[in-house]
Amino acid sequence: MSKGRITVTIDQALLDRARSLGVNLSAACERGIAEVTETVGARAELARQVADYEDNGGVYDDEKLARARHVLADAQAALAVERKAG
Amino acid sequence: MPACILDSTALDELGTPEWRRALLEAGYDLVVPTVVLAERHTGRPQDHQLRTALRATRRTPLDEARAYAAGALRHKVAPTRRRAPSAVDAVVVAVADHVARRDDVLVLTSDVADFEALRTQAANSRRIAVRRP
Repeated sequence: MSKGRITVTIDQALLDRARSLGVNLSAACERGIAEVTETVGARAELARQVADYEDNGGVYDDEKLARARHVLADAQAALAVERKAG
Repeated sequence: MPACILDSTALDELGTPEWRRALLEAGYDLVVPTVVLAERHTGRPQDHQLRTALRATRRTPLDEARAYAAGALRHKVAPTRRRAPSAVDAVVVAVADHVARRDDVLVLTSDVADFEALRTQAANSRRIAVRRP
């Protein structure tokens, strides 16, 4: 398996505490990698389902698609406002 | 990556091509707390659409910390409501609150009133939005 590398930062106090308590950081990182694997798999499956629908001539209901996009954009805008205020 | 947490009614919407497309475009990490399956799964052949929708999501099991958090949220909200929110709804918001420590979270549900009441009691409520699909 070819391996890539990314850098993750961790609060120094938390790192010191984990080390002093003998927490297995490698195992914790492996759990993180498992979550990444699951997230990538789910997103790939969603993309596949969308592509299958379109490749098979599926047609979207414009009104329903617009409504879904509006709900998601509205929520993102509201969260952005809270982030700025916070 | 922002997360979108789906309750049982929102899982039905994920079965529609329009919502699948919109969620893919928006770039959410789709999360289903496994406790939701207790409401939605029937064990019958008609669950096929549910299983298809679930494959496009990350499922998070209920751990002890989230169960405690859900109980506390439910207890805080109960006096303000005619009836206490369901334990499943409280778990969904507890999971949202946990994820919201590091990411924005959108909760999709048809039961906005109960979820809003629970959200306001969450520690990271400002990073959680509740919307009806």
